[in-house]
Amino acid sequence: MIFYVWLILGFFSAFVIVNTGVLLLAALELRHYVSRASASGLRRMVRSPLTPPISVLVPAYNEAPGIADSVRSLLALDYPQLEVVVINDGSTDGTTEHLADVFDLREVSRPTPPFLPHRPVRAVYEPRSQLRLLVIDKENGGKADSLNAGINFAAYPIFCTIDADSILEADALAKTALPFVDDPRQTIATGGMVRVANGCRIERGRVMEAGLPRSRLAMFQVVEYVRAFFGTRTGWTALNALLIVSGAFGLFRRDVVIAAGGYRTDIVGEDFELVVRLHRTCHDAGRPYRIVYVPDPVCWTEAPERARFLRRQRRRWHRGCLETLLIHRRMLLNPRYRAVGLLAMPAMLVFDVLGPLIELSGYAVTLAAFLFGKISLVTFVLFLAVSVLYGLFLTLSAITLEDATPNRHSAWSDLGRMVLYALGENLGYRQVMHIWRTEGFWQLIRKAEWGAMERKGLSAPEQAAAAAAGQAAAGGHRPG
Amino acid sequence: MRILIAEDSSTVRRLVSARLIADGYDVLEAADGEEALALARQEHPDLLVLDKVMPKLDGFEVVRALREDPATRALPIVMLTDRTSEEDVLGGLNLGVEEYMPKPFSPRELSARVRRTLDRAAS
Amino acid sequence: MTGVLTHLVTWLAVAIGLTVALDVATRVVVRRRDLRERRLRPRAELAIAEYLAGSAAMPDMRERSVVLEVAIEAIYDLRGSERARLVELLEQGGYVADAMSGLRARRRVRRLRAAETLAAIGSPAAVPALLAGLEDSDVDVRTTCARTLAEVGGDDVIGSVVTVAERDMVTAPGAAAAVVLALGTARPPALAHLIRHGAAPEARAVAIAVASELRLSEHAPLLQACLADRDDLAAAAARGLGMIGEIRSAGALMALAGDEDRGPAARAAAVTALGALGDLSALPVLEDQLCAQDWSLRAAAAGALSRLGERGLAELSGAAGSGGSGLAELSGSGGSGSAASAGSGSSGSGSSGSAAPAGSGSSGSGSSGTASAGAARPP
Repeated sequence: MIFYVWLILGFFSAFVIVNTGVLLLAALELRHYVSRASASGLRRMVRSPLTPPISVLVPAYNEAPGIADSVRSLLALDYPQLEVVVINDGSTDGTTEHLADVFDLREVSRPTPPFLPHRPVRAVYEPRSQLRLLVIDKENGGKADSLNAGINFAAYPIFCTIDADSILEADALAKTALPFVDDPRQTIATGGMVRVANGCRIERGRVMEAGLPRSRLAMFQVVEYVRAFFGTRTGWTALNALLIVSGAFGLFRRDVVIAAGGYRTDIVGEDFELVVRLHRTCHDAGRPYRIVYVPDPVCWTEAPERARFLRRQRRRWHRGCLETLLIHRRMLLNPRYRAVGLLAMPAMLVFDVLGPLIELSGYAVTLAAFLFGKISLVTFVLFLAVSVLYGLFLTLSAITLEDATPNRHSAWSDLGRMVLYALGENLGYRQVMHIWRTEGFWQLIRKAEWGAMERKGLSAPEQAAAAAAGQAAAGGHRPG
Repeated sequence: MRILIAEDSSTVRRLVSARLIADGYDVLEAADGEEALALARQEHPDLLVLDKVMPKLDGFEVVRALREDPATRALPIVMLTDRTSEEDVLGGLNLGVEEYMPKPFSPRELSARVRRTLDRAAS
Repeated sequence: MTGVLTHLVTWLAVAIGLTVALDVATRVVVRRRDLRERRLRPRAELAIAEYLAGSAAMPDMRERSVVLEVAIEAIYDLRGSERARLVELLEQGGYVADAMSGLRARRRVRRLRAAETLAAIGSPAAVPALLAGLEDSDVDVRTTCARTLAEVGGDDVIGSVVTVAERDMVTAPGAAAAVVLALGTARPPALAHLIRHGAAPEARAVAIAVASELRLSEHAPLLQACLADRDDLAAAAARGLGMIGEIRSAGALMALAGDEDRGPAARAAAVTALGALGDLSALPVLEDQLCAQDWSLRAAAAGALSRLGERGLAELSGAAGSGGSGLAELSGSGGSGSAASAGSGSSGSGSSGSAAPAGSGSSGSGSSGTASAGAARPP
């Protein structure tokens, strides 16, 4: 019992030290970023012939309702040279036919490049016009498999992964690609901010008006995402130990990913695993590298509004985390991998993977101690208050960091709502998420069914239920 | 003669409109693609000066929409853009843009091209 | 226990209170700045635009920061006499002098902003301050000054600019590349020193890329000399020769393409360049590469042949045998598997956009893609 109390206290102290440290680093990194980022730099980049061209890879499984709008909005991004590669992962809803209609595609004969393995390609299509679009029609093999096919066919040295139902802001690609321009040799991967699109007015695959969602569950996720991205990822970037580049929006150097073997198709969290593997292979090869989170480019994504789908998503994320940590367990506490092995991965293991379990059991033990009269009511309440208040502090700090970055403006009432939900997030939402994530443990053990997330057409929410067929392409963006 | 200027940078919009007003045109302004399309349909301008990269609808999409609509099919368009790669220029010309004007630009030269395009459209 | 927890709760409550206060303060500051700009900006825009359109009235210059911001944005999109007029206005308004003294500020952020202002304005009056800025301790300030000097400085400063570009190429490759790009744009001959053997390889790679992208045919002989260098430089140079269209280099490119001792990336780049040159004498060499071991090289050869018109297509379908109609369209993927050595990548960005002239339309169904890949191997 005493041992357990010490365990909980130790866990909590470590949690406070690491998170506060990361938060401070985030603030410093953000300050540095804001001091360097200038509008003229971005515009110069967009006009420079040295800016590397990018292949935007869009894996699509039964995305017919929104895919054409997505492709159009990607083609209209403010970036000097890009191609869009849609990989149709054996859809059954005529995704390819739909694209062929809209973009006047014709079948072309392209040999499949041998760089990465993936399920067979049935056909490749190109528009008859000048549009830089390639549609790869392949047999169903999941999101990772589709991305591997996309990497194979990509023509450019950098590729961007994006979910078919996510929306990039017009300048997001250029902002996220900036580290590749700043340091073309060392930069191997970059990611940007993922935001919850649920409250936005969306037309033709573009965000016309940003706003906060009405759904409570989505609102909690807004707060959660802000904390994860501003409070956490920026800080880990400062240590070059960023472990997660969202599958929903990330840029990678193609040759480095090919050399590392591409995405693994036998696990759930393929985006997380790839980034960890990139850290590993670069350290093993003694190659200096940078994996960077860029704080202000925005990718909007639809968050699940129903508990059932959110639960499935969290279980999957948790399972994915655990799988990756198991695969790369040799990196844990290995000084060879510097901050990645010594700090980031242990932090991920202790706080993200075991954390939910420890925290939940902490609640249980404290409650039991109170019920058996070991501690007083005051102690019990204070104990809970500390854990809730610290969580609130982290979230509010992240919101402050967000408000300090330029180009983000929201009404005062929005701030009120954010603070309110930040409180609620720590007073119940977080605990529920912990329970769901813990369920992911059992899933991994039982290798249960694939999770499926509710899919929505970007401008046609009513089609949501229709496309909910289960497939692994769902939910690649994790805020954890 | 009425000219519609669709350009998201208010600075550039002002530069163009001041020049065109000084040269004796009436000027309408739109700050994004959607507004441009709406104004082009309602106000029947004689010519459109169009930026390529804009929020909501990009320049090419505006051109496509205008060319599909019989009422605006003949509206002469001068594209003003910092996209000067071959494929961009070809893309614009293929869509039926009359003039392609790269940024950085000279407002006086733009005005001259507007005049020329209007003359050609009239003849 | 309770005592410690009470303290913790108190401290956390204080921290939360401070955070919220900080957030509110941040928002107030940002909001006020926004409001001010929204109020003043349209006036500044209108005044500057009317001044440039010939109005005699001088714009009201009291709101200096807003005027400067608008002017810089305008300059960025302007050229010719109107740009010159605006630069003159800023010089007379003391903005250039302000930025010149800002370049000597103690704080790094201020110096960087000053350097960026001078870079945006591009006034020759700032040359002395910019020269001093080349010695700045901050790499961003140094390279920004160098970039500006490349554009507005006289012949006497180019040597120092080249030195900065070369020296900072390792610590700040992107910023240094921007200096080289400015040199290539404003003073093409100055690139020669950087392309030539003897300069740092990183700087050479960038100089080669700049000469290629800007199609500086005067440097073609230097690029051709680079074909004998290490593979990444050779690949970049080959790509450049293709882009420039240097037909006189066809022989050297053919030699590189067929050289079994060189890496596939360099050879593939040479093959793609030969396709871009369109020299029919390259047909035999290209045909040989259809049987190369490396996939990228084979793909590059097929892509190049498809660009050589009728005879290239004939070779292609001959090599591909019966299932070969598809190969005709095998353009695009040339060299894309090779390491992107320079920032802009040595991969086939040059070749891939160009639609192959072959109009054979859709050919075959599902398996034709893989079939033609096999067909590219020797029978």
